[in-house]
Amino acid sequence: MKKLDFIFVILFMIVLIIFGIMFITSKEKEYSKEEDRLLANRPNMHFFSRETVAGIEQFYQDQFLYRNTFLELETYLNTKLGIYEKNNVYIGNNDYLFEKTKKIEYSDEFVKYLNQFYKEHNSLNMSLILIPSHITINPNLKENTPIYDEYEDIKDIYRKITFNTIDVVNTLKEGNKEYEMYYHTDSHLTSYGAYNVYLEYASSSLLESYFITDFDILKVTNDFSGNLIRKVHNFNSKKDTIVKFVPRIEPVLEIEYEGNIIDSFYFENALNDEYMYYYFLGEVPLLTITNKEAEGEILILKDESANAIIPFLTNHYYKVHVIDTNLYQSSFSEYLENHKEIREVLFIYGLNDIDNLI
Amino acid sequence: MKLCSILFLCFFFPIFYIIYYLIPKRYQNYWILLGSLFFIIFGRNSFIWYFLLISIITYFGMFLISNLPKKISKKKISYWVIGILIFIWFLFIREVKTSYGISYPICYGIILLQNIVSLREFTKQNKKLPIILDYFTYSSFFPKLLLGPIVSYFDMEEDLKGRTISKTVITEGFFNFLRGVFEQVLLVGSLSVLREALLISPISILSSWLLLLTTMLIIILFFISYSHMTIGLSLMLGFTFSKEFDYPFSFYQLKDLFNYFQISIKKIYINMVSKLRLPYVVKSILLLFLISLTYGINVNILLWILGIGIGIALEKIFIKKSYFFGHLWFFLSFVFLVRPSMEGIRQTFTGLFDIFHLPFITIETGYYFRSYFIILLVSIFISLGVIKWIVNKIEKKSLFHLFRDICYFILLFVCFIYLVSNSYIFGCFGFEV
Repeated sequence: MKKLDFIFVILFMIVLIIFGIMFITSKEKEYSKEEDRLLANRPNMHFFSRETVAGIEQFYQDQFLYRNTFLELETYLNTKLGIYEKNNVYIGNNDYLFEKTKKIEYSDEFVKYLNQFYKEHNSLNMSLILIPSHITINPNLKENTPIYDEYEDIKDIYRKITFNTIDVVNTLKEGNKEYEMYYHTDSHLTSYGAYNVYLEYASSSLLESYFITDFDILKVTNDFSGNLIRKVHNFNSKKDTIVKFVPRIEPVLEIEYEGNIIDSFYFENALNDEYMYYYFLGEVPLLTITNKEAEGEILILKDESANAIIPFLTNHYYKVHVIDTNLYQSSFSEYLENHKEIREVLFIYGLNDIDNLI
Repeated sequence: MKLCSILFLCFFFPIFYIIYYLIPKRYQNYWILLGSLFFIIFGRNSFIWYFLLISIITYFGMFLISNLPKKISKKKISYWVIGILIFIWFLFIREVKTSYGISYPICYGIILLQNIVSLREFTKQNKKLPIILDYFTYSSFFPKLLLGPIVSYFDMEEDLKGRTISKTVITEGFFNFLRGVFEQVLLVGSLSVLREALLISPISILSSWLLLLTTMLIIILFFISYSHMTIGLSLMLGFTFSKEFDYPFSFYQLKDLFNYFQISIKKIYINMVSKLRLPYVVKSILLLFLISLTYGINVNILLWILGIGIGIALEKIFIKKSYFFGHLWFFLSFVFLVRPSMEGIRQTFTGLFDIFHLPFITIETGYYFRSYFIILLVSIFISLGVIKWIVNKIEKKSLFHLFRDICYFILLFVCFIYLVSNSYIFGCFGFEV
């Protein structure tokens, strides 16, 4: 038996050495498309430096052979142990992934900023839409998973806001009975979800909304891996389908981006990228969409949660100015000063992203 | 360098040990010295300078003492050297910042104590001056560098001069080391994730007790796993050390706790304190203070040690012999380590006992308890020594070794999964190595 043990020791050592050799001879990767992040590169060697050691350790972790397989195996093992949470994402039933919700830390600052903005531009019609997280609409989770009640936060913020607010939680809950309002693997609204938010906005702003039958619903891709997959490392899970709503009577639009006229607010190039959500509106700080058949101008200040909603609004305004506040570097007030025709401002933010905005 | 890292497991460990077995015996000590220096260099900032200063001054002190004229008191010189060593230790720990209050890594105390112990033994027992390279091999010996055990040079001298390394010893060492890696990565790492989750979830009575249990298990398993790794790595080099940490719940009375926990440090301090002409209580407090000094001067650790001290006093005066009291008190003493600072301790107490204001259970508590149930169960069994007891029972059965080897192979693979994904938390809050 001792002989057997020793053979195993040699075997273990060989395995460790093979790992080491394979590692040294393998090609260094700069970017992981599955995790959508830059991987640690070989650090500059400075002896006696703790940073160098931390850098080396990170390098070995990031560049480890078959890293993605290891990451997937970890998720698999955890679920077998009964742990359905990883990197603040819950693994729910039927392949659903849910971003974990928590109390908004900077809600007061957010409210204060918006109220101040309204005070400075009180001649404009302003509205706020907060998009809830998937978990609030469709808690398709393992039994007894704790959920933070985000709806209370939304109601609290709405109570404190001094201009018009639009509650979309119930609309989305209702809509979810018929269509999927959110993607399985992504934290954003599907086009169906975006349509329901649009309906609520139209009703609140007294716009004559389009019926679902007024659109052709076209499949864009069946191969969408959402942002939550990158967090739970479940790379082989079921892919989502992206669809887009195209009006049967399509208006002629003029879309301006960085001073150039572009073909569409659907960015076909994004379908070749690892993260296809940016098919809707891309990752641009400012976009203006002109529809000569409509009237009025609106400024939409938003984060990426609103990307799928914007196309619906272009049918109702002569000009829609879309600013992604995470990317736009200049002052919004200044923008309003330079565009006196704007009479309406709409804020659309994902509730879970508020803390990142402040 | 972390013992549970890809860098150590895939590179340092196999390369160091294979070359060690291949080179002629007369070069093996040099190789250990070289490997240990490499290990230290890839560790903490400035630790190499601390290590070199302490070791050089101690060796110089020994050299001075061995060459002194008879008129000059050797004892006095040794006290002067010890004073300088403590001063250097003090200078360095002031610079080290850790994540948990004003604590400092344990390895600083380990280096200091092992050199003091060697110097004392050298002076008292009129030992021969060690060969400089042997002394530095001893002082830098990487398996015991992070958490001990603290042994004097003269305890290791025989092994340093010559040792036999058999296949049995290598095998035993290797499996000990792996056991430590498994405990550290799979249990301490996962329990630390649970602890972090419980700390930020709403407080309930049950969640506070679960947090206390998790904290205790992390600390116990952290030290036990290091002990296994140290013994394993040393054994593979042909050096035999006794355990520094054993299953702490093996004690019958609380006063015997330190026979299972930080064993060598306790012995050293008892030797120092027992000779002082002071009342028993003062000596006990001094002993406990010295032990806490090694872990890091920190209000939490001081109170923890003090709490255990009070437990020992209560046991001695009122309880006499009770298996249950000691174990319960030891478990409760971890209340001081759940959260940092005095405010944290107050919060923990409130969480455990404020039955009138806090809910008994929250949905989060149930969720985390269910999620980590298997890990908690295995950790409890290991910390109580149940797994060890089962293994001892079935060790002689046929196919046991084959079964164990296959299990170890699978567990090593699982460890790599967690190491690569970096989703476990390394180390033990409050105690830095």
